[in-house]
Amino acid sequence: MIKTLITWFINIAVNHSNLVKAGYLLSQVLEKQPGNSDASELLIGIGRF
Amino acid sequence: MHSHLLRICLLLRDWQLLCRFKASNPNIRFKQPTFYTGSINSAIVIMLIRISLIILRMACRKSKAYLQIADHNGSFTRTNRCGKNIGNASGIKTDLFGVKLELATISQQASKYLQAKLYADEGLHLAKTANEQIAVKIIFACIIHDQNFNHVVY
Repeated sequence: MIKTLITWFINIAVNHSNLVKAGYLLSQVLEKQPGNSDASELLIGIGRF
Repeated sequence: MHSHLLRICLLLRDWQLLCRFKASNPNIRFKQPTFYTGSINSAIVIMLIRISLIILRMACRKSKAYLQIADHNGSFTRTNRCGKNIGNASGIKTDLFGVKLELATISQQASKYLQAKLYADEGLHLAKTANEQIAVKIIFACIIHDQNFNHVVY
């Protein structure tokens, strides 16, 4: 029970860090190319999660 | 391949013709020593550099072609052929970034997000130009987005 709870928390933390990293990378892309539609759409999509 | 050989032959022929011209007209002096006007040693060095550049360009084209075929195979889920083509492209070792990017996209299409993320991370380290960095960052974000969209948790 405790083991599953810990793995669940770790999964959530890893997923959260991945989302933050993806958002950071996309913001870097948008800094260089403000009109990049792929990056802006992905940023909106990642923002929902 | 044939066009490159033809180009090398033409270079050799031009060089021979100019050597003959120089021998027949010794009064003409060229300002700078170039491929045609320098000594034989410099001409050989320049020739070797040009041949090595041609070989490198051929290898680059070959690896790009392999990657394109792998992309087609990956889109039609022909995994064996796709793996073989990517192996060939990575064996040439001219475009390692392209190989990693292709592996990331194919793993993403096959919904193997953990592997895709690892390949995209390697691509982030290998990216040199600004366009390459932008491409790999977008692919990384796309992988994370798809993983969360399909509720895949490792």
